[in-house]
Amino acid sequence: MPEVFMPKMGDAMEEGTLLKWLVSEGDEVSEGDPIAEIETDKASMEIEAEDSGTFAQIIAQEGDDIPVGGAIAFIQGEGEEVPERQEGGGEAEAEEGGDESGGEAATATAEQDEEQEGDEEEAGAAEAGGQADGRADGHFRASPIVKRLAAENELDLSKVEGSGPQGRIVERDVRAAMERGDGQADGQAGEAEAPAAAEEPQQAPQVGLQPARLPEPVEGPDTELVEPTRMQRVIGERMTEAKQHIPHFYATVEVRMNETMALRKQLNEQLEAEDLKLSVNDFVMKACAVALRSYPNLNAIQTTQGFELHDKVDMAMAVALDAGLITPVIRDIASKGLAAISRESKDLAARARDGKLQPDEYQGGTITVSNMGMFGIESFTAIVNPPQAAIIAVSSIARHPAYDENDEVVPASMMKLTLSADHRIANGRDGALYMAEVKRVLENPVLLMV
Amino acid sequence: MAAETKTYREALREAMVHEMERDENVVLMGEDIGVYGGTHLITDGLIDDWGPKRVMDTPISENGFTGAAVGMAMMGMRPIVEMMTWNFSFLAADQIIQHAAKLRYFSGGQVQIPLVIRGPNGGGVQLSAQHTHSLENFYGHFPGLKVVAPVTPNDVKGMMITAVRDPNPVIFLEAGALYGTKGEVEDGDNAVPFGKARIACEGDDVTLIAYGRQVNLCLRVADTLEEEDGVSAEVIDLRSIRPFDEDAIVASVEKTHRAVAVQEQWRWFGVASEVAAIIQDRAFDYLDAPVERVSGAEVPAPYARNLELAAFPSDKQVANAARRVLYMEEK
Repeated sequence: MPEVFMPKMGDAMEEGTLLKWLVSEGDEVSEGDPIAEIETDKASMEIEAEDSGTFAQIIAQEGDDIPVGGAIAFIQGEGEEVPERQEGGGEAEAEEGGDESGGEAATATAEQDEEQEGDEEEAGAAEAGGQADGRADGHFRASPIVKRLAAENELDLSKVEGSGPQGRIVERDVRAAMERGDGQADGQAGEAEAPAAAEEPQQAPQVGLQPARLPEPVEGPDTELVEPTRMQRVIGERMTEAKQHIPHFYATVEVRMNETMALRKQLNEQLEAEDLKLSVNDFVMKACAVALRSYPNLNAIQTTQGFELHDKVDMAMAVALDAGLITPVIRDIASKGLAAISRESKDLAARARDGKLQPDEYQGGTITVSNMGMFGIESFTAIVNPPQAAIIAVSSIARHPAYDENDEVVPASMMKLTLSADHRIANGRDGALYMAEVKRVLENPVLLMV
Repeated sequence: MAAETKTYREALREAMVHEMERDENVVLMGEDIGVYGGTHLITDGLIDDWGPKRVMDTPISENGFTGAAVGMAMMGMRPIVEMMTWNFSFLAADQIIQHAAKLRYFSGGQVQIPLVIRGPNGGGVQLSAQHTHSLENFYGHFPGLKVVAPVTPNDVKGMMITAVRDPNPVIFLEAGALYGTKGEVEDGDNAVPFGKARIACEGDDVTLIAYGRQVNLCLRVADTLEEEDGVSAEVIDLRSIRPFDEDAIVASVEKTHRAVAVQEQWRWFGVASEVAAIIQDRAFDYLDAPVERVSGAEVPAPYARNLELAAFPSDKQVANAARRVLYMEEK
């Protein structure tokens, strides 16, 4: 093959950047001559000509990102013609195909060439062109069913990326967009979304992700078909997205809560007159916030421009509702006293259950705490609440026999806390040290005063 | 209705006998169908039961005996004419096209032509170029003819019964390569109406449309797609080429949004082209991809087994056409 392709230099490589051409159009090249420098996410290297001939055509320009298997240049052998091509090297994706393994791309291309002689139809279909932009001339390609679906669902197709030939928008693209809730015509987006989805970040399209084939319902007399509520659908979509896209890691600590419990008892006796009763969760939330001071990358938001670290802790707390779940936010919780936190959390939870929260009360948290201690849960893990980077799962306090410093068996109130964090922004060590700090604060609750 | 497993050949013979018993005007005609029992043994033994007036051996003269049958039909008889293979019908094309198809029209409806012409159609058994034609589009082209191509033993019986009872000339195209295949056949009168396609296999993602032995190929491909690609293919057996069941393919494409039409005959001016045209006409707004056609290679049918296989649609070609309309990678 006289075409030069972007090589696959590692399993994870999907595209490479063409840094610099080392030859010019018209140069004679021999097999093995270095012709270009490319850069992957891991390294930069030279690529060599695999054929000898005239370096006839540069397809990719310096600085272009080219998918693996995409044509970047054409070396003209004796008697060969330089093929005409569209601007931008549109064939790239077609030749790359969906193959993950290296080497396959070249094979596929060779087969295509053979087929082109005998079967015009196949050649036509294979011409594909992952040219993402089907709109160069001001209109875009979409299959008839896509246009129909767009009209029925008030979608703006200019916001949907096409995965078909020449960037044609095909049914799976528009179905994926509808599932994500984007692509809606102006005036539709946002307001139609349920509360919990309001802070959803832009995600990469999930093209090609097909759900497993599902069975038909039995519809027997002892079965009931349940349509998820809108809120449940949104929760489901966001959690699916979070579980699929966020590389979670987990870290669990067991905290001896005797000191905190004693302090809480003491404080609650004093506060009884004020009709205020601090909950264990108030202490845990405050401790989690105080400990974050040294670990800002767990108090982070994933944005379009990367992760944004926040100094102030706006703590979202998960509140279970009959119809789902919502996470109202206590702003700048680290600077608030326990009494203030307690009052605010009770008020938010009560209004959450009544469905009376304002959007700004459940949007914009920087970290989440989810407490299932009241249900006697020994330990659990939570799913990170995007675009946040971390969530802490709080379990119940149970009395266990434990050893004191003299190896005597003494009763201890133990509670497990599990951190789930986004590995793209934080690493295991951050998580471990942070959880150790939360543990230290809760085991020495005077630290909540500072 | 009770049913029994029978071969395609037995089911076909049973239908003719069923109608001969019902109506004494039903007679069989053709080359070597009596004493010899038929080149493909379709009429084997019938002359012993029915005698030479109901089972008539004819000279090797397709134009002559087909013309005679047209005249008999005009006079109220119901001849079933065997073409030893449909390839020989070219000799009788003048009688079929110029007379059988047009006499009812010419006579302002005063004359009916209740004639059935039957025989093996298509290839796949190494009979080479002159003995390998799929003529459904050829005869389907002419108004005045009905054209059917059953593939299951039950349909060949039920459609033969319907063909004999039809007051118009019926071109009855049998799957010659499948005479020995078996299937459940309903007992008694199982008349299958013309113009109703059969859903051979239900599915949601892509519709494969075929008739004759390509239906079996499509069913195999549907299994492959299910296993290898997780794709649920619907297979539609047209079985009646004229009249044509437009509603069945439109309803299916409205569900699946993608279609592949498969035919053994050559691509140009074929049934698959008609299928594609109907879909774009009536289901355009449901399509997610252009309709694909898979057809025979544009050559006279080769004799050599390897070349013959290469000349007809293969499982792989059909599976890949389905993958293309699904925008999936070909294999």
